[in-house]
Amino acid sequence: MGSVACGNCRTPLTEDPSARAEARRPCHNCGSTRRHFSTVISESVSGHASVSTRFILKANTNNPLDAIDRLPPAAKRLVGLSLITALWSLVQSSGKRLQKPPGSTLLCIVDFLYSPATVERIFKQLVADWRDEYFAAVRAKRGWKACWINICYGWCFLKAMGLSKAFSLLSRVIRRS
Amino acid sequence: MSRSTDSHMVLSQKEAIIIDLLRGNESPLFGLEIVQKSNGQVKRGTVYVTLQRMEEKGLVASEQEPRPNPEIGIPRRRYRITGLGERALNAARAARAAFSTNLVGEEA
Repeated sequence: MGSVACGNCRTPLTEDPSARAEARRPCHNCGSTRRHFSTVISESVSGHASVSTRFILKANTNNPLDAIDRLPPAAKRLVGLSLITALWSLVQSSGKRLQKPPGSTLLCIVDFLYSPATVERIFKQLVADWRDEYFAAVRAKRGWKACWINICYGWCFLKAMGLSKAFSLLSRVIRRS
Repeated sequence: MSRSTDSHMVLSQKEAIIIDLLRGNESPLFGLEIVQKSNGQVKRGTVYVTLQRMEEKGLVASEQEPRPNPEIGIPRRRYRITGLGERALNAARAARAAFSTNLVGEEA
């Protein structure tokens, strides 16, 4: 909430800051209808980011909105930046990122390379087992086991694609050379 | 017998293990269950490739598991042995037994 004072003699006045200039009563001290508005802007975010900005605006003007416009440019930029940062950190921390289930990317690759029947009978079944074991480990809160399951099934997927033979061939070539 | 039917009677070691496991179980099995019951003889990476090959030969048959409507995810397939698969396994065992008998006989 802001405070209103006389723009001439700075006598504090009990007046609505949003009142129109025509409706103002003259200052009881000096009779002036000019006003001085003080506003405090404060913004804070709890969680991963904490930004707190506090400005006290003092402007000699008839309109409270002009007070904000009369902020120095650096202060305006800082206020805007702090608001944007606060909003961004709220968005990041409040919503969880969408995660793909294991094997989704590999399924997309084999969908492109192999026939639908092969994908249905071999790769989708493998991924179904993969997810079954992975989520069982996650439910049991065994993170390392879940990682190991991902590694094992990733290798199994490559074996099913026939790529394991390519790797063994490559290793033979490297050994011979 | 035609040559193609004769070729169906030739079972690889993994195929024989899978058919044996399916025969020993009353209900159809999932691929992962076959891997777990085989005690490491059948691997996860090769079980479905082998099962698909066996299904093409007619040794096993598969069906999709029934799922209630709200459930999401990839539906899994269950596998069961066919009559041809049982005959193929019996023939393979008989051939192995005859081979080992002849070998012992020759050694004697």
